[in-house]
Amino acid sequence: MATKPERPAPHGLGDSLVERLHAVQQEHGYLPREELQRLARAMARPLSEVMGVASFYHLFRLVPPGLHRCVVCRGTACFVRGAERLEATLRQRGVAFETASCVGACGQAPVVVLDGAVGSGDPGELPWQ
Amino acid sequence: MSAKLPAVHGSINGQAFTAAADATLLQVIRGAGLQVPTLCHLDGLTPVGACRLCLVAIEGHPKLEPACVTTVADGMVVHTHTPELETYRRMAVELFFAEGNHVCAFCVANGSCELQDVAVEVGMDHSRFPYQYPQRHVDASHPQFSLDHHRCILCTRCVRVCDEIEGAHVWDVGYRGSTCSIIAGLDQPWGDVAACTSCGKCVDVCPTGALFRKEDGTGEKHPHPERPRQLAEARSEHHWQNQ
Repeated sequence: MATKPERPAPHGLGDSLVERLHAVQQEHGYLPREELQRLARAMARPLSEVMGVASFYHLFRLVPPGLHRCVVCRGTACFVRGAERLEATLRQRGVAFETASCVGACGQAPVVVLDGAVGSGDPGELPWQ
Repeated sequence: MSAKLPAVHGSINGQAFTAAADATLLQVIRGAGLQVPTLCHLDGLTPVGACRLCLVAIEGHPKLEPACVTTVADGMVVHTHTPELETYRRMAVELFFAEGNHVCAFCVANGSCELQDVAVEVGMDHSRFPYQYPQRHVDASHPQFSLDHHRCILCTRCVRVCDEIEGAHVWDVGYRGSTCSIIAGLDQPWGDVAACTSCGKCVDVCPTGALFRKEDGTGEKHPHPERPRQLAEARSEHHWQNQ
């Protein structure tokens, strides 16, 4: 019987790819292509692997951000507290926004993050008010 | 049986088996001459349990397990074709079809497509799920090959063969959820990726018509899914076909 192929270690990314991506984003506001290339080379990892990780997480941006940044949380608590209406309102007012699966501030649901500051969505948008 | 590994005993569909303790259930099932459908599994590549078609029921175990990544254990009583499993398998194949744009009539792989074969095997003639008709694209930037994302089922065989056998790691899985796709390099056109050696192994192992040679017309693709196993064996045993 053929031997079972060994599972490789989880891609040897123990050397903190995500942390380094965060550092790049902190510096540039997004992940520029050249920086990803430089990072891959520095970590001796394939380009596609670095891009795979960078594109998987919503918090990493691959295009330059606008002047202000607005993130609407789509977590369960925020959904229950009217995140959908919040999104509809923002869309109606022509505000570009991103969404996050959960920002971990469910107590303030529906959560909206404006330029990095976590806050509650407009209570006027809550379905029962 | 080698003395190094303790042998384990069990039964599959009522048929007794003896296997090395590190064997996977899929190896044992196929070794016993039984069949379970697979799409992501390929001998010679690391199993990932992505396609969920090789799910089997193990008595006394609360959930179904993918045979390709489950190691045998002593006293295992396994069933490969319960009515429940057959329903799930058919459902999984229907979801594959509903998720992409699989049109056999003008596909390069028509007649030699593993997705098509599996659909026949599980008795699927239509999908009960609404077809998503996703807006995907075709990457024809490589001089010899093309990638039609519409036909990709994300089995990751190309990703693994390029990484594990060729060592180039041109491919990976990018993005997530319904926008998940196979990416080359920094999600660049394939032809722009310097790491690609144009070896064609990804095209050889693709189970559908997603990766194909440019000269292949409708129904003209000839895949070679046996290549990773041949190469892995040749490397470990230092025995090459041309020697």
